[in-house]
Amino acid sequence: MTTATKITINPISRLEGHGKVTIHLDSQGEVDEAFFHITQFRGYEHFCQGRPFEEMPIITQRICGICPVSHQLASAKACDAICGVTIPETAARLRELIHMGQFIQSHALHFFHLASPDLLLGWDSDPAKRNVVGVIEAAPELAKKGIRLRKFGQDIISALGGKKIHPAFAVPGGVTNALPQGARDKLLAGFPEAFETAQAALGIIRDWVGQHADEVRGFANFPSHYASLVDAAGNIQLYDGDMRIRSHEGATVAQFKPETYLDYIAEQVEPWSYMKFPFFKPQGYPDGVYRVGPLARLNAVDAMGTPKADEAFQVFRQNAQNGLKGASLLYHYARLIELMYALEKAQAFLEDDRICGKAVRSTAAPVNPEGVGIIEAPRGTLIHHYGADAHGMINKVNLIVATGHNNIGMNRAVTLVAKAHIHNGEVSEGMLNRVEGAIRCYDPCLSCATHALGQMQLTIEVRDITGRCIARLERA
Amino acid sequence: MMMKTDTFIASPTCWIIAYGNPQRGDDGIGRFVGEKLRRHFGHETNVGICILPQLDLALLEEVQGADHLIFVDARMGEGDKGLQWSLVEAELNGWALGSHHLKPSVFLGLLQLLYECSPAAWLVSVPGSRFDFEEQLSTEARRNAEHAAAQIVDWLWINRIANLGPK
Repeated sequence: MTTATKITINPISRLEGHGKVTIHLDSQGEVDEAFFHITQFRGYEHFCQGRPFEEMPIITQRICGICPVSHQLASAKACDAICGVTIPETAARLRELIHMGQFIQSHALHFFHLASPDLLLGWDSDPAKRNVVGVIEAAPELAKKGIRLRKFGQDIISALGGKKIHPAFAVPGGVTNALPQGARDKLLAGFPEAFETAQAALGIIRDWVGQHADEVRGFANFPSHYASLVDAAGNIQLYDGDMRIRSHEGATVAQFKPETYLDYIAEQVEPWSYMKFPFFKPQGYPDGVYRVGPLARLNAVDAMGTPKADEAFQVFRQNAQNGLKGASLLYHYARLIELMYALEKAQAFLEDDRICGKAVRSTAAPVNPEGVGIIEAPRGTLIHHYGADAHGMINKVNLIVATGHNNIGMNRAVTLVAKAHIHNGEVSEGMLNRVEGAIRCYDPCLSCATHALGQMQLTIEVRDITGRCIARLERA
Repeated sequence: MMMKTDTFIASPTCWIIAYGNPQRGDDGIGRFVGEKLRRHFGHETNVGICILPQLDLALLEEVQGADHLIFVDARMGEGDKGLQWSLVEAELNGWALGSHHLKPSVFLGLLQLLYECSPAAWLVSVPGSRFDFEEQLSTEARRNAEHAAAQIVDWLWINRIANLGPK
């Protein structure tokens, strides 16, 4: 057994949130079990009660500074349902366009800032350089393009919602304003470079997966169900559609309307985490593990529905069917195919004159006691479910975010990686980075997951059989 | 109602980067100072003013031609009520990388690394006292913000960076 050791690494981990991993060793120093804890608490579901329902899209987007658009859209859809309105066609297109802007900025941020250091520089590279600074030094032009690609997504959000973080745009019944022609033309001019950068990034990850097939196969690769929204043809849908859950073997085990989600999804609470553990109800907890987000979506759908993304999807699927379907590292690959999809969809919306239509909102009083809004956020399926009284005052809120759906899956990924890399109680920084890397595949947003405040932080502890902490990685 | 989108003035040699969240009380000092300077400088082409909720890598490209950068941010002013001007030096070592927080020194370091641009940079740190959920500055913060804006105008005039001096 090793002696007590404290490992401290600075700079901080590349996660959106504040959490902790504990790894428990048996008497031989081998990994017994591992837990991914979320240690922050907020309570949106409670303090929103008593608020007028029409405030919910503005209040709930404050859950997150990375994906506020996703929360706003899911919330607006739940409010549409309370009003019983069908929003104008232009409003639906504009909502989907801002959603694509959100995908472009979020996926570009994750690949270039958070994921690429591990892929381009290596798990065991100098931790002081294993961040975007190291990437900039290694590939400055790529880094510049990555920053510009993210900005392009933010520009779409800003053009519609007035600002790139926490925009004021989606409201019950539609959106607040139409898209001016000048803004449309300006955005359209940005696509050639955006496609070029996305294609380059896609090439990097495709080659990396090809060159590291054994690593991808052996790194947090496990079967589960996979969930996504799909359209009537089975294509991926990020804004609307039915929710589909597919088995690892490819069978559709459930496909349902959003408002019936409680028939299929339930949540478990564990005493060691503030994040809940959703599971596929017919199979119970924890057997009903399903995953959401880019890899899950690409495993759950039949096609992407846009030319460039479909071309990449075919190659991806060949890889996935070769024993890699459940490989957590493929999340990075899938994310970039979705980035391409989001660019294609955004361009198509903007090239259609209907995007500049002026009818952008239907107004109505609350007529239904409940409303459910489900969208695919960048990190996965996002559910907002509200109850309201006859005056439209909120009396019930249930939020299930992507990181929550993936909670069981992330815990399983952490356990698998820890078991593969920790032996005889010996712990290296590179190993702990791999544990973090397993979580990073899912791009969890721990603020969203606890609906959190403050600085983001991850701590990893390794404990021996007596519970004594023998190693600690703290990124502060 | 559509909110005003931040705009940029072409090719300035000095950028004022004023940031903070105006919905968190005195954290909105940066925006207040930035808007006041925008009104003052109008079409002055040598001074660019950027107002942001937080520092962002996306701004690096915009300011890559700058000779001077002035960051304006709020700070918790308990016990220390004065405006502070401090020189910012580029640093990247030990950067705690997430996407939620970026320090002026790291911004400067990245500007140097990516664009080989090393402007002289100052952080004007303006004290505030109330950082709760509200959209107004406290009386004291407002006074400090007006003082900061006036000092920046003076500084730009004295150093012959701006053509428009104090009014």
